[in-house]
Amino acid sequence: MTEFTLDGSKRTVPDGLSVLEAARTCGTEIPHFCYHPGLGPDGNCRLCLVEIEGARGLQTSCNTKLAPGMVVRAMGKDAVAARQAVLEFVLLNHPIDCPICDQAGECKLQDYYVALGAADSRMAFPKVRKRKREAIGAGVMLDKERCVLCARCTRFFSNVMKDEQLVIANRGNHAEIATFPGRKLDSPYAGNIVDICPVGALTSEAFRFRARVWLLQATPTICTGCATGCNIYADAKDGVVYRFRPRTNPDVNGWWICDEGRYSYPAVNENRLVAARIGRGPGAREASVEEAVAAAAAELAAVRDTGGTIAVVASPDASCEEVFLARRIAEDALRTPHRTGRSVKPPGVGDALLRHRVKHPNTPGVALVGLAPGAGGRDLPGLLSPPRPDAWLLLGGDLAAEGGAPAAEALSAARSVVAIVPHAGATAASATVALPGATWIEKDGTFVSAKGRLQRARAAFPPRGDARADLEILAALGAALGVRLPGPRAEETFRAMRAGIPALAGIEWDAIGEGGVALPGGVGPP
Amino acid sequence: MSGALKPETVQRIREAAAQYPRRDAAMLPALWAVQEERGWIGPPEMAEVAELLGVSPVRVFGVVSFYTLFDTRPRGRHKVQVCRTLSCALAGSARLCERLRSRLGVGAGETSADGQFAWEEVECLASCGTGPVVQVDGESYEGLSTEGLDRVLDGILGNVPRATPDRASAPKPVLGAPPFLSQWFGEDGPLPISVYAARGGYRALREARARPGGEVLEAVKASGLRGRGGAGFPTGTKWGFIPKVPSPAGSPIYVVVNADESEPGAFKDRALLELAPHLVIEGILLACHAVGAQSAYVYVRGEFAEPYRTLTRAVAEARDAGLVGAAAGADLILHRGAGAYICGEETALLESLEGKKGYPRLRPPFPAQKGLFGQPTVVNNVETLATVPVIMAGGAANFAKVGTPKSPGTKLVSISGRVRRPGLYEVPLGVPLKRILHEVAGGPAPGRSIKAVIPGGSSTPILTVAEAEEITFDWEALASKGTFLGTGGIIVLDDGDCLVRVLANLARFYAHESCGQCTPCREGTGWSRNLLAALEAGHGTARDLALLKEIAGNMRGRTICVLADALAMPVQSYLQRFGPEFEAHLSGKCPLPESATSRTSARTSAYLPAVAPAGPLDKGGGPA
Repeated sequence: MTEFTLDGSKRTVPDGLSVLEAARTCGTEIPHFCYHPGLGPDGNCRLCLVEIEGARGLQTSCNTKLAPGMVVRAMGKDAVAARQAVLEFVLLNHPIDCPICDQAGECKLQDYYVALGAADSRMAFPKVRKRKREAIGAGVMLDKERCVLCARCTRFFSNVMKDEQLVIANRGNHAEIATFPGRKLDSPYAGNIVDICPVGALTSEAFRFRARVWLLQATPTICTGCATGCNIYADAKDGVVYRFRPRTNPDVNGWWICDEGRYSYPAVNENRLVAARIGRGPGAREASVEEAVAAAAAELAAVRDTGGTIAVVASPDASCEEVFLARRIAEDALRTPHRTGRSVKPPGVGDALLRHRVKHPNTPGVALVGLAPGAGGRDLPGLLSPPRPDAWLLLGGDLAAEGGAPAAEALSAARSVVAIVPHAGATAASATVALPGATWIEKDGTFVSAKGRLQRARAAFPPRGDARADLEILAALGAALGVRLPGPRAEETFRAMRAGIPALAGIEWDAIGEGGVALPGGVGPP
Repeated sequence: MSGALKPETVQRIREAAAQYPRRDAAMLPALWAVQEERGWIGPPEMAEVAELLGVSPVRVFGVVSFYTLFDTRPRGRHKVQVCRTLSCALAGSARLCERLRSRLGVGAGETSADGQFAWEEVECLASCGTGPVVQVDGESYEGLSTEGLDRVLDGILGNVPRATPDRASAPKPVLGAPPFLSQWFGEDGPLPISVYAARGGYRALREARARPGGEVLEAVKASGLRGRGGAGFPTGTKWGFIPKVPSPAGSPIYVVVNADESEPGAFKDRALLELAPHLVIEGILLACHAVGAQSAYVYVRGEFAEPYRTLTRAVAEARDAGLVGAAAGADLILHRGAGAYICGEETALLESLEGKKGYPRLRPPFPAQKGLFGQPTVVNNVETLATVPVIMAGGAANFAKVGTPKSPGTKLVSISGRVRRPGLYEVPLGVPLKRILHEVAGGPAPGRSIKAVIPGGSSTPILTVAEAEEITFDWEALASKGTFLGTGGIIVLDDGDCLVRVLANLARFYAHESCGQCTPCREGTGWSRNLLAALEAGHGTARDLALLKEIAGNMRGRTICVLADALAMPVQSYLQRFGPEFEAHLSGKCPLPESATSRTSARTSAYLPAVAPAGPLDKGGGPA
């Protein structure tokens, strides 16, 4: 630990920090543009100047290592005056088009300006004009006039992606961010530059002008697009998700997420199954969830009691708690060996940074919970070939779509298909009883990433329409089949599930926190 | 994308790349090769260069956009560049621009309708003592009148005999200075290696190489030599920062030569490169021996076409003589800049040498720890290195006998502006500045009196004539007046010069040359330029003067490098010492209507082809 003095108070912080990081650790935010924890200091903005006793002149706190006993005045008169001067310089050629700027509410320039005095412009000359509203590719919009040239975006490409796609062209006050002439950004991670841009120079085509950020509620959750489990904020309002943003977690995703995950939010808004349905084809009718659960239980019980085969398939999109309840229903209520959490979805694109080729969030979780074929039981894709099951209980995912023609045929040939799914997709259409599950953004639960990290997803808002958290539906279904299941709150289900799983021993629900916990010994590959 | 360039060009690029430990460092040579083939550099060529050098195309685009000498669109057959910076402006460069505008029918930055000439205003071309200078296709024509300019252009078109380009002038030792450096200059061209060696050149190098390099280091330390590039840092101390342990294989030490002379008012390094290349080369090789470097890179300013050619030939001579090359102990690689004053700043220079934009680096680490390609590096100015053979040949004590204890030796001073005999001189440090101004430079033109002196290049704080005339010319005395010896580029202003106009000229220079990295410099230089232009045009207010001062205060000491200071210090010193002159401008009218650009310097005469303009230095005859 290093002891130092910050604005008159003695403080102790971990070793190895810069003055800026040390101050931040103590709760003092020193204004800055170019420094970013994921990119390091660059020293170009000159906003983070502080007074350090014994040093000649003001020092940039971003690239000054904290030394023991250092006396730092972050809020000293000279430092504050210097920052005000830098802000005046920044604003000199800035268009000040805040009323039509979509960065409002999360603009560092605006925040600092308001905090540091808000003086009127003393510049009486025409401003340097640059291009505005330039679509530079990958869904990113560039406004060169608003740019403060902090070089975060260019450094993201050169330092993080190791693939320069943006550059600061020209020099002096004509310097501007640019792509190569005639080329657009082409990167699966380009959206990150929108997040790290401290001002309204880089905005997202998909998000801009859709919502004012102060009206959005940010829920700390995880992305379920692949096995990495990147930590994100889901920004939502009135049951609609407007964007996903990375949430810093050095153990998982650092400061970044991929565009695949970032732009996956429309899926939670669109094509939802919002009411239960009984029957398929022309005879199908909407029903209440309670009636549909009863019908589902009756159908499954009939097949069970007549010696038919029942397959229970939970998608690895489902949470550990859901998979646990599915397993309990399969083992205790339906007493079928044909139970699986395997996916038939083909793998996608992976890379060394964040994207995992397994596009499910919880494959290791399925293994951990132990949903697997019993003695004489069959697994996917074998279950899709004759002799096909007479009945299916499907949880999450969209087996009919993911498994192609064999899956669609197997489901339509079955006597009974009970599907608990969030979307009105192919599986819901082929179900004899379709139960409206929640999307992952509407429910709580734990997931285990490819690296064996147990993390929590959190409900951003209640399920839409008549949809229910899957745990509620599963608990009701279990009850209707005569089995009392723990829950339906995820925390209660987790506690019951933990009892039988050594890897989860001692892990408290609250201790999982926002950052998750590494499971002892990790888990096998997804 | 590939296949657009000629095979010869591709070959040149590959050969250039082989001269660096990383091929992307060959960016500037590659772009020069492309421009020489095509005349300009378009996106397809940038993409091909990127492929050849293994970098992203957008990096190449950024570099091309940063350096002013690279053209991104087709230009006229001949490129005409008029220096518009202070000394040439004082000598009447505005009239040359006016002439080009009317003769070619197009504005600066454009090409004449017949496609023959593209003309532009450029910053200091290091001909300050013989301005105004115009470069046509890399050749310098100095001391031009409008008629002289016409004759140069007509000569290029073949209408009249072609004018002979001007070369740099050799320095004259004055005020009792031993000709430490002056004696090694050729008169009409570079001193050939045969003459250089016959007079004892390279003997110091051969002797030094027979002994440990540490002896060179000790001698330079003992001499007290201070850097001639501007900061005046003791050279031996700087060398001493290089780690002494023998460098492991693949972990070399570099010597980098800063031949990017571009400080307005300084034109000494250009002369050294053009006329005394072997003195420079011997100095570089001695430095390599002193610090244990096996290779040296010489960063030659892009505008210096002639010095680059001269030095290239001289290096070949030295190579043939067995003095340069891996077998000789040190190799020497020339690297041509491409138009950026900031690359004279040592870390910007290193970035540029590595093939990037000239952005100064954050320090620490310092170049001695992590310099070129991340290796320990010493960066020295041309004149500094040229002084090393003098010390080694004559002994440190002999060198230190001249000058003052803290400013030993002689110094090349470049004198321009309102004196009768501008030019390059070698003076003993510590002589009265008054003697330099009057005895050496001949004092003001008849009927004029000196008003102010910029002592060390345009970025050094200005002195009143009274201040200038009471001090000696050395680091200590100049520091006592709050200014610097800098590069030794003295610019003299007389009672007819309007200091508002002078400062406006300099502000334009610094705004043009700011790399744009740090906020205060990027915005502050441009703002100051606008304020001063308005003030000069008679639209200024008292509030503007206060603002100017405040902006200077907000720039100074607040940036990664000192380019911001290089404008802030002049602004502060001009306002402090000549405030009333700025206030007088608030009336809307310049009190010195015939100032600055409206007069030619005392020295300038009509340009006559094939002969040098009149001057204090005999460049081979010509009418006075």
